[in-house]
Amino acid sequence: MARSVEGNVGLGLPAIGMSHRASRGRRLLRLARTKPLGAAGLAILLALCLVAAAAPLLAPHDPYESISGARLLSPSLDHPMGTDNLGRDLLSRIVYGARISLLIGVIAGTLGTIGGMAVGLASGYIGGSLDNILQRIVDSLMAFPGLILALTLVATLGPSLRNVLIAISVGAIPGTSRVIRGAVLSVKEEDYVSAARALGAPGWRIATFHILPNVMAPVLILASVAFGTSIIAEASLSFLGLGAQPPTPSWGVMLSGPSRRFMTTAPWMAIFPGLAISLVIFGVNVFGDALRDVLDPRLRS
Amino acid sequence: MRLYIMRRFLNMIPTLVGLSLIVFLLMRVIPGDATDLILEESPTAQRKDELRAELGLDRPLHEQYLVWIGGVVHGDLGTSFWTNKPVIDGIKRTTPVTVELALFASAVALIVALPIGIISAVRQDTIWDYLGRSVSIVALSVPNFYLGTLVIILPAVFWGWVPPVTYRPIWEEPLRNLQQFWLPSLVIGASASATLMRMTRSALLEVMRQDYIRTAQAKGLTFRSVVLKHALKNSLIPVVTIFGALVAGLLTGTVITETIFNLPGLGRLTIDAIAQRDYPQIQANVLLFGLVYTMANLAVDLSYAVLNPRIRYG
Repeated sequence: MARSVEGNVGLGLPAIGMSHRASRGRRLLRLARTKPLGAAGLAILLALCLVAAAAPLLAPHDPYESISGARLLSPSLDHPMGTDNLGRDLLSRIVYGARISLLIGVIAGTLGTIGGMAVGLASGYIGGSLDNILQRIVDSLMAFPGLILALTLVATLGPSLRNVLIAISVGAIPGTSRVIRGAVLSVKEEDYVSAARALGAPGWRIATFHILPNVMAPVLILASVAFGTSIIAEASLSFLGLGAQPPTPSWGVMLSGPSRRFMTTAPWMAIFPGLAISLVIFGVNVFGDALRDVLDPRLRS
Repeated sequence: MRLYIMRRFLNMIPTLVGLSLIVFLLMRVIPGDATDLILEESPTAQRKDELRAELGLDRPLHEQYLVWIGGVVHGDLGTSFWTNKPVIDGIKRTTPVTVELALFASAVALIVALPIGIISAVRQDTIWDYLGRSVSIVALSVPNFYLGTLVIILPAVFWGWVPPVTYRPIWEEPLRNLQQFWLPSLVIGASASATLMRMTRSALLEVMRQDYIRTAQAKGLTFRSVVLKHALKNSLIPVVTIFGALVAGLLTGTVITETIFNLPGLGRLTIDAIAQRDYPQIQANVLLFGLVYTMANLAVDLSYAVLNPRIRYG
């Protein structure tokens, strides 16, 4: 029980009876001691949010501005990560790129999770032929590996950041809904659900107030996974030229095209955006692992 | 057992129909229609109608689907808008590249992941375990398009070495072919092995806690034979699950690495087809990817039944 309260603190949710600031700080410290990697992951993600929010303050230059006479400069004090082939400051572009990654991760992750939750809840709770139909559609969608599904959607919608957002969100629905459906099916048989039904609660009320809160643990875990996969998917699609288009400072865009042409003269053009992506994904992975340990006691070893 | 296999195959049919319907419908919701893409300069309405009739686009949707799927079943996947040749030609030309890449990458993944996963589990909480787990979590975090770019950039910067860029089949120039394939195989293998390793470790740990392992140890068997003969086989079931994920990783991995390393494989063909808006080609490739993935998952389910005779689902 103590550990799940820790989990709440880690998530930034108010811990029941523990809203006092000092004790919250102490609990955060304990989280850092028992799950150092998870805490590090959380720190990385918070840093990402901070960088994205304060981008105009942190970026030394305009991310779109070509500084004359500053093409392909190696990292220096003035340009800590060097400049690209058009004379744009790489650090500034990476700082602004954090906004795109965060935006995609949050929006696509949330939309995908909510979509999956809606489908999973409908499928698991209502059941019957609706369940059958929904699950056959999910089966068919799951017959594609995630990136391939997103790739196909983008191919039909056309390459743009907005379409990537749609493609990634839709791509996250099938897998998520399958897990939620399973969770709903097991919660549905609990005594408190039968009790609510016996008291004459209408179906929608049982679904939203009795079942939904009890499947929140897998939902949160899935959301953290969806956040990470969305960021990777956006970067991959942009890298392939199917996502954000130049000159947008998306990390995937920065890694593609020109950075390959100038790889021997200006390797920093590819190295730094890639480092940024890897760092964020690392943060998501270790934080997600810690979250799973805390929220899902069955998986705790 | 035979009945079980047959039932599984029958269960696949609705999935495959759904799969083909999704691919078919997606390609029909494209803004504008195919005639705009084929006829370059502003065509007359009459010419467009003629072409539509020629391509069968004037028929009702369900008829179009039946014609298309009938063709697919007979091996006729349509004609490429771009090359004007049968779509199947492109697939035949590029499949060997992707298959070779996938085989090498799986070999890399297995060779790296299984031993490290086993060591990590039997030496739990030692420095070797931490080392193995750290490597896997780092490998999981580096996306393969970044790893691919790095393994091209770093040797080029330090030694001025770049992998050959023109593809030669392995049966023509094996050495040159391997020079071109070893790096992309490592890249895909590395990311696949990260998941595989974590899975092997946790599965083996789970099994090592079972009573029969204690019994085997109690009757004086060597630790080595307990791990390799008693524990490993039983820990394979969850590990096999990952094979489905491995195939998914290989498929998406090839799409990206083939683009980076300029390998003319299926993934590259798909990306090019998307860039050229060559819908028949995209349709066929995506269908093929889905088919391979579905088959892989079926193989996983069937291998459960082999590894654990208790699983037969009646």
